Amino acid sequence: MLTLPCPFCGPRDETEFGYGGEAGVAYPERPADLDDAAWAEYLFLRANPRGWFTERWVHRAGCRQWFTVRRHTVTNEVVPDAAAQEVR
Amino acid sequence: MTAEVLALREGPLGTERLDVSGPALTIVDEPFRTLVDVRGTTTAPVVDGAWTWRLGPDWWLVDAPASDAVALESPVATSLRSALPGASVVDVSSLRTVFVLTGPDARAVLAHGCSLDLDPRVLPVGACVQGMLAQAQVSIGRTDADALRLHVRASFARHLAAWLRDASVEYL
Ligand SMILES: [Zn+2]
Repeated sequence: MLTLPCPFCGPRDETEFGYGGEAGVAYPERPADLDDAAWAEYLFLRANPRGWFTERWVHRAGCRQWFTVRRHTVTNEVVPDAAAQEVR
Repeated sequence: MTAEVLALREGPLGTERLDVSGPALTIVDEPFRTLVDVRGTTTAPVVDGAWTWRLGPDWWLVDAPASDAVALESPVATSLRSALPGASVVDVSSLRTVFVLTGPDARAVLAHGCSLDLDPRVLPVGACVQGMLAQAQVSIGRTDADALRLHVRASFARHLAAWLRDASVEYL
């Protein structure tokens, strides 16, 4: 099981969290201008690296805060991502 | 609740009560507490005679004695709303119910189904943690060196009461 570092509660078991996918995916500035392919890319296509990945988690059973971590997709090592905390 | 002819109310445990008692452990339920959810302020709400638990950075649970007032919302919520303009203040008394664990064995019982660190150095008096206990979401607050208050959602109360009775057998 992963241990995830909640910025408010500290390290907790993975079962207390919900997964939010890749961090920093911005909503399109003019959604109406997007064609189907571009809209599908925004909705569904995400980076799938072998290595470090910046992703969102929500502390569902705890403080209910969303936060960002960097996780290594091979080793599952997880580190807080200070630079990405601003991404809501 | 008082009435001249009839007073009737039922807690989440129905007609059961949670009443576990051992040499170093007691567990009782405390239904009908006034619970008020406060969001949108990083300063603790102040209510006389109530516990105030910090559930998140700007999220608080006020745990006050049962109210006799017959009203849509508790007097506590009403007074807090005027004291905390801009915050969201909602009576949630029926959302959760309260179990009170006291005695040196209280922590050991919870450890059977909970990975949270409840050591007094991590969870001092007045502090609160939220997490999972026996598959139920709970908040656990410390009121004394040997006393914990557990807030559980009403629909999980009977499950958790049964689990606590079972987990405490070896301490009786
Ligand atoms: Zn948290």
